Formats: sequence, C-alpha cells, structure tokens
Amino acid sequence: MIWMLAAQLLVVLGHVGRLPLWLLCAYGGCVLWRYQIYSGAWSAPKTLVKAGIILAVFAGIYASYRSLLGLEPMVSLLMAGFAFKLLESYSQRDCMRFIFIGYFTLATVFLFNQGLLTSLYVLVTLLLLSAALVSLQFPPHKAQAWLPLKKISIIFAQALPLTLLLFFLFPRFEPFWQIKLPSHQAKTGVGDVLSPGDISQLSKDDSLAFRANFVGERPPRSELYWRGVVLSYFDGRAWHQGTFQKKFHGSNTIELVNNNEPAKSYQYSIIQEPNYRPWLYTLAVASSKTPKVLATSDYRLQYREDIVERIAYQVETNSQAIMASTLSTVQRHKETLLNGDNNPRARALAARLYQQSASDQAYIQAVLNYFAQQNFFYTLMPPLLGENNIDEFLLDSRRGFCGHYASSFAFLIRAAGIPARVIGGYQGGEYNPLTGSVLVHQFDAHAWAEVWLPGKGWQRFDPTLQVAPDRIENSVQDLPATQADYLSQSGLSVMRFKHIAFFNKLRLELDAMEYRWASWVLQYKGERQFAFIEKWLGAITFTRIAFLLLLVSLPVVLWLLWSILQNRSAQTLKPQDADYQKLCQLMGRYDLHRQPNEGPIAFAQRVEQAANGPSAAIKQKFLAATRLYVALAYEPQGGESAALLAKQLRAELGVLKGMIHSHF
Amino acid sequence: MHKLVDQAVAEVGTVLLGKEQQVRLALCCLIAQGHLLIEDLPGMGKTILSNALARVLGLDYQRVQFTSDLLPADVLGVSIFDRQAGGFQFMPGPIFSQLLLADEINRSTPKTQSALLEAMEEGQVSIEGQTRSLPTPFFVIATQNPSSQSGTYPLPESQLDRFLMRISLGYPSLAAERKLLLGDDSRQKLPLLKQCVSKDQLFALQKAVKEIHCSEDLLDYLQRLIAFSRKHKEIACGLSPRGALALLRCAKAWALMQGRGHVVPEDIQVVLPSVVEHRLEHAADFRADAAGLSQLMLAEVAVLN
Repeated sequence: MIWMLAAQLLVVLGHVGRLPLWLLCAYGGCVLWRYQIYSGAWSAPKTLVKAGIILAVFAGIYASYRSLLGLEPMVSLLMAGFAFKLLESYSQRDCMRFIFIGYFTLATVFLFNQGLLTSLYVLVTLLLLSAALVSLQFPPHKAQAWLPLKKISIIFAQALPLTLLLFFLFPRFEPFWQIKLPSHQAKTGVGDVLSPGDISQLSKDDSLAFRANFVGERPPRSELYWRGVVLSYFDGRAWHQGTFQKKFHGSNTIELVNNNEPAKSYQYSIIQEPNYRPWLYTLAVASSKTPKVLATSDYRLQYREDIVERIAYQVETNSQAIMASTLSTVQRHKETLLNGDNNPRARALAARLYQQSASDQAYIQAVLNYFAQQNFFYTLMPPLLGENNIDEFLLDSRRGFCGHYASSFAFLIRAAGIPARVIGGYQGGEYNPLTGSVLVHQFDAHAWAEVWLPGKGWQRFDPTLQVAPDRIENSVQDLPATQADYLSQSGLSVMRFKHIAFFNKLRLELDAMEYRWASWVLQYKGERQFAFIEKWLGAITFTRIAFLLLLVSLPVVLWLLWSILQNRSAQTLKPQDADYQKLCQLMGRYDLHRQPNEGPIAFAQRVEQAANGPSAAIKQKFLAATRLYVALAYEPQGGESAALLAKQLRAELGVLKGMIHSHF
Repeated sequence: MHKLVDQAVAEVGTVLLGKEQQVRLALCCLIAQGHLLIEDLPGMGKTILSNALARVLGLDYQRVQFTSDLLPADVLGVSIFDRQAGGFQFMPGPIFSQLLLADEINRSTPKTQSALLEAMEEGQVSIEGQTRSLPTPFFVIATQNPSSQSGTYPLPESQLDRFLMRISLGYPSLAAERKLLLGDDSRQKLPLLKQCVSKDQLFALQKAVKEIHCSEDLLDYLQRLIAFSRKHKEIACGLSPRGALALLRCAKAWALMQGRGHVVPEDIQVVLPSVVEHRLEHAADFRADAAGLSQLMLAEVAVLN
C-alpha cells in the first residue's frame, strides 16, 4: 500500500503543473479518504457516490478546459480516474489494475516533455511503480521493508543489457496514425501576425527555442539573425504572412552575388524544440538536405508538418547569396501594398523624408537616422496603441521593442513604394563552450525588416539597432534598463542566477547534458541509427543483422539452456519415480489425483476406497504397483532386487495402461 | 513384536475411552525413548493415561504435583541426618522411578522445572556433589495447562525441546463420553490393568526402533520438510537438528508399531504434528497457531521429488 501511494504521488507530481488545481485537491481528498477506509473510520464509496464523482469530474474538466477533447483534458481525465481508482482498490487484482493504470498515466508525461530530467523522473517513477507491483506479491514484513525495491532494482539491472541492445538495433517506425489534438498549450513563439504588443510575452520566456551546432566556423553574434517567418502582408494595422508564402517552392534558386567576395558558407545542425508550427529557423540564405525539410519561396525552410517533438536538421547557409535578384510585377505589388489609409501622419513623414532623399538607399538611411535621432526608447512594456498604431508609435509614444521598430520601419519604406517586409525570428543566442552549440532561447525572439533593392535582392535592416545598440550585442536579459522589469516577471527562474558564476556554470552543464541527451538518445533514429550501425558493423545487410542478433542472443540462450539443464539434472526423476507418477496420472482418468503431499500408501488407500473409481481389477493392479514402488523407494534393497522391482513396476505400468485404455 | 504394542493400546483403551491415536502416539514416544508432554485442560484424562501406561508397561510409577512452592529437592531427593546411623542418609525423591508423572509442570517455578528437565536429559542427577544414576528405563510424562491460564510459568523453548512429543487429548467423542458416563469410575479399573509388555520386551522394542530401515527417498522427504520449516516466512525459527532427529526417531517407532521394517512417508506425516508443533514458533506477524504451521508443512511439502 505504501509503495502504491508513493508511486502514485510521483506519477501525479509529473503532471502537477498541467492539472487544474481542483483535481490536485481531489487527489489529496482521495488519499485522505483511502487512509480513512484503511483505518476503518470511513466506508468505501457507494455506487451512487461513485456515479456522482464521475459526473463531477467530467463537468469539472469541461469547465476547466471548455472541451473534453485535446491532450490536457484527456490527461486530466486519466489522472482523475487514476486518483479515484484509489478508492476502489482493495483486492490484489484491483491493485494490479491500479498499478497498470499508473504505468499508462506515466507514459503520458512523454507527450509533453522528453528531456533528460523527465526521463530520469520517469525512470524513478517506473522503479517505484514496479516496486509496488512486486510488493503485491509479498505480504508486508517489517524486517524487509525495502525488499520490493531491492528486487525490482535487480530486475531492472538484469533488463538493462536487453534494453540497450534493443535501443541500438530496434528499428524506429514512424507512427502509423496520428491524432491531431487541439492543444490548449500552444507554446508562445514567434507569431505569424505582428502588430505592436504581440511579442512582449516572449521576452519573459527563458525556455529554449532551439540550439545550433556549427561545423567549423561560427558567424559573429551580430550576424546571427535566425529567420523563421516572413510577414509580407500588411492589413492596415498588423503584418501577416502572405498566403502565397505558405506554399512550398521546389525550385528555389540561390544566386551568388557577382562581386569579388568569396562565397561564405556555414554548416550547422539545429535541434529544434517543439514550437507547434512548421517553422524552422536558419540564417540567410539556407538550404537543407534533411528529409521533410522544405524550402519556401521567401527563402525560408519549413517542416512538412507542425513540429510537435524535438527534431534535428542539417543546414548549409551561404551568407553571400542574394535573395531574389528580380521581382515580378505581381510580387512587387504585393511587397509594397499598404492596405487602407490608416496612419496618415506616418505616410506624410515618409513622403517628407523621401523628398529630401536623393535615392532609395539614401531614403532608407534617412529612415534609420530618424529612429536614431528622435527620442525613441526601447522597452519591453510599451503603452497600448490605438487605431493608427504606427502614427502613435512614430510620433507620440516612441516607446517600443523590436516589433514596433521593424513594423513601422517596413511601413515607412513601403510608403515610399520600395518593397519591404518584416521578418520574425530570433537574434543572437548564447554560446555554450561545453558543447560548442549556440543556445537560442525564447527571449531571443526578435523582429527586423528586409528591403528589396535592385541587384542586391532582399537586404536585412534592423531598425532596433538604431535605438538600443546594446540590444544586439547582448541579449534582452542583460539589458540594464529592462532588467528590473524582466526579473520581476520571470519569477523563480534559473536565469535569475546567471550572474552568480557557479549557477551559470551549473546551468550550462545541465544544458550540455540535455543537449547530449537530445542529440544521442532522442535523435537516435532513422538515418542516424543506420549510420551508427553501419559504423560498427559495416553495411547493413540482412545476414549481418541476423548474425549480430545471433551473436548476442546465443550466449543468453545457451546460458538459459545450461541453467535449465542444471536445474533439470538436480531434479532428474529416478525412473521408478517417473513410472510411479505416470501410474498416478493414469488414476487421473477416474478423477483421482494424487496431491503432491500425499504419500503413496495414503493415495493407494484412497483409490481403493473410491466409490466411483476404477474397477476392482484395476484397483488391485494399482495397489500391487504401489506396493512395488513403496518397496523400491522405502524398503532396504540390494542392487539386483531393486533392478528387478523397477522392471516389474515398469511392466505393471504397461499392463495397467492397457487395461485402462481398453476401458475408455 | 508390534502385536505387543497393539495389546498395550487395547488395554489402555479400556480406561481411556476413544483415544486410541493419542495412546499410540504416547507409546510411540516411549518406545522411541523420549519424554512426553501432554498439554490439555484439567480433567481430560492426562493422569489416567500416564498411570495406565505405567501399569501396562510394568513400570514403577511416581507422581509429583508441581506447585509454585515446589523446590528442586522435593523432586530429586535430600540427605537427612540419621541419628541412629550417625550420618547423613540420602532420601531419594520421586524422580528415582521408571515413570515419573510431572503433573502441571508449568505451575512450578523455573528453578524446579530446570532441575527436572536436566535429569531428563542426562539420565542422572547430581545431588550434594554425588552423581546418582536414574533407573532404566526412565520416562517422564509431564502435563501442562495451556499457558494462557493464570498462574503458569510457560516452559522456555529450550526446555520444550527436551520433550520428544507433545500431544493433547482433547474432548472425548459423544459416544465415548456416553460410555464414560454410564460406566464405572475408570480410576477403580486402573489397578486391574494387565501388564502387556515386560521390561525386556520394552528394551527389545527400543532396540528394534534403531534398526528400522530408512531409505534415501524418505530422508529426502524429511529434509525437504526440515528445510521448509527453516525457510518459510511464517515460521520464526525452523526445526533444529535435534528436532530432525526426533522426527526420524518417532517415524521409525511408528513404522515399528505398524509392523513394518521400513519407514514410509505416511509414518512421518502421522507423527509430525506431535513432534514439531512445540518446537516451532510462528513469526510475529502471523497469527496461525503451531498446529496450523505443522499442517502447512504437511500440505506444502511434496512427498516425491
């Protein structure tokens, strides 16, 4: 019971952040109730009460999530069932069922997180659940309180080699079916709509967005602009992803700039955390050979489906390549379109600046200078803006973060008829020297703009740079002006201790471990698995695999055989014992079964007195044969007489067999 | 030879009605040269059984009623100054007899109990620096009340172990009790009992027990039983080697009484409860009594391999 309660507590703990509070209270109530039943104070719930509880749980979950479908409601439902099952688990069978539900519930933790710590937690809980299962087989004994845990640890240790073998060799199948559950926990990331005020939440999220591992040279931090989403459609207030951009583009040619600079390319792999969108983040201009990773017409990479679990992909970036050396008329129209007639003051500003500029280039510089020279402030907590949001931002409030700057910059450029768009993604990242990878967190989310210039294609402009240069050289969290705001919102976060060297080191170590876990364990599938096997075994052929399996399993099988034989030989029946047991089995025909603890004479007497037993002749024969056996087994015998008796016993057995078979 | 025993059983059966199995077990114990402990409530015929056994076997018989103020000297004997002889003279106590009935042994203090039990083990007593042998054969039949009754000093395990068997008589059957109620006082019949077994015959029986054959298969079974008692978790401490020897000795005596020259598993099964129950102790967490434990042993251990 203790084991079960402990295991259940751990299972519930795994979901504690995801469950509604009332469910946790209900769980506490269940434990209390169960304890009271155990101590005899309360009685077990009646059927009517149970029905009431079921209805209440369904109602409660519906009230909490506004739906019964979806991952969280389903898990909550499962947890509720698991909690209330406690109230009706009394017999051993109930308890086994209870524990099996526990196993299933535990597995659901992986739906949310597959990190190293989660896996460790699952392992510990698994151990405890299994210990509970073992403890069911042993009556409680004070002196052996830790016995179940000891036993199950031994079993786990024995299972370890097989687990490892299967891990390395067992093929990973793609799921045969998938249910798309509407997740209520859509992770905040870079959105596909940008209107001022959208990204403010992101800055406070210190969870990991993705990590990049460069092979060879690493670009400087100020060049790390991870493009994720291109927002080309302006509806008068907000920037959206254009519908045509969602289409995949097969023939996405990348043209090299015709200048003397050599093509500069970077090779890197990215491990993308689930973002529940299909977007992948890369440096411009990227191409990838990883399956399922597709190129789009706006020079992004996109996954074929929403990323709901950690994925890895390889990227090659050519930073000198130009994006779209020419623009078609239609595209040009789309990229300069400003719907509606909002923000008249901004338009007027654009017209004024454009008139003063000699060229498009000069105009862009003038706009950038405008941001630099006017009294703009970078803040994570900008005021809310009204109908003409860009007007208000540019001319009145002048307080905002990257999204404000990027979108108003793009607006001003478009207002002058120059193609421009807003790019959403991440900027920078933290270099972890332990793994050599760049960690990009959610608070690195950033927005900037791209402007199309003839002959140069789409060029990156980051107006935020004009306002707060620190913002680019350091990440948000280091920004002195916003630090107070940031920390007051982040609560108890590891990042809070970044300035203490020890904690920072610990954090980086943890992250390094998590990275290795992700890259070696979670990503060990498909091609990686094949590559690994090939590295050790050479080409994968059927015979090789078969040979390996045989090589590994042969010792195990041989050892098993040997131990079985060893056992057998210890218990090898003497021929007379075997014969006597066959004799007794013959009596089974008459529903007379010798109990293991029944002596031969006692059994013979029972047979003799059996009312519906065999015929008298058969009884006589059986008695005679029993006498022979008793003489053999228990009377003093010389070698010869023993052999003779054994022979007679064998003969009697044959005769009796014949007699009984003729009877049926 | 076993006919003698049958006769003796029949003879005792005239005064102790309907208790043939217990009488047989008691005789088996004596033939196996062991001391017998009878545990039962007062008035169940313990005294009559031991008295009748003494008569039937032709043994001289003494009875000591154990009380809480009984001293070791009261059992063993004491030297008294004889004025006429001018020296001390040893006055042997009741222990110097062939069959001693120690009635309600658990009513006396541990000191007296241990004096008796030591004599049982050694076959001799040391009094005032002088060692004196006890007569042969020497049997002790002790009776005891269930230790839950008030005013008792339960015998420790080490001393219970000295008794080869412990039996209890139990209430008589309806028919036996009716016969008892109709008949005369059985105490009056006691002096009329015939001696069935002479002293020499008793020695011969005891000697014959040692010659009973015991096959390997049977020893296997015996060892399985012992091993079971030692490793089963309901049993706090299993049978000692002395317990194992006792079981074998009784099984041999039983086989002899059945007129067989060899032991069969059924012999062991018959004597096992009487031999092991007072030697087993159940583990603290289990409520089953010792009788349950011996039944458990019989039920769980397979006779054949």
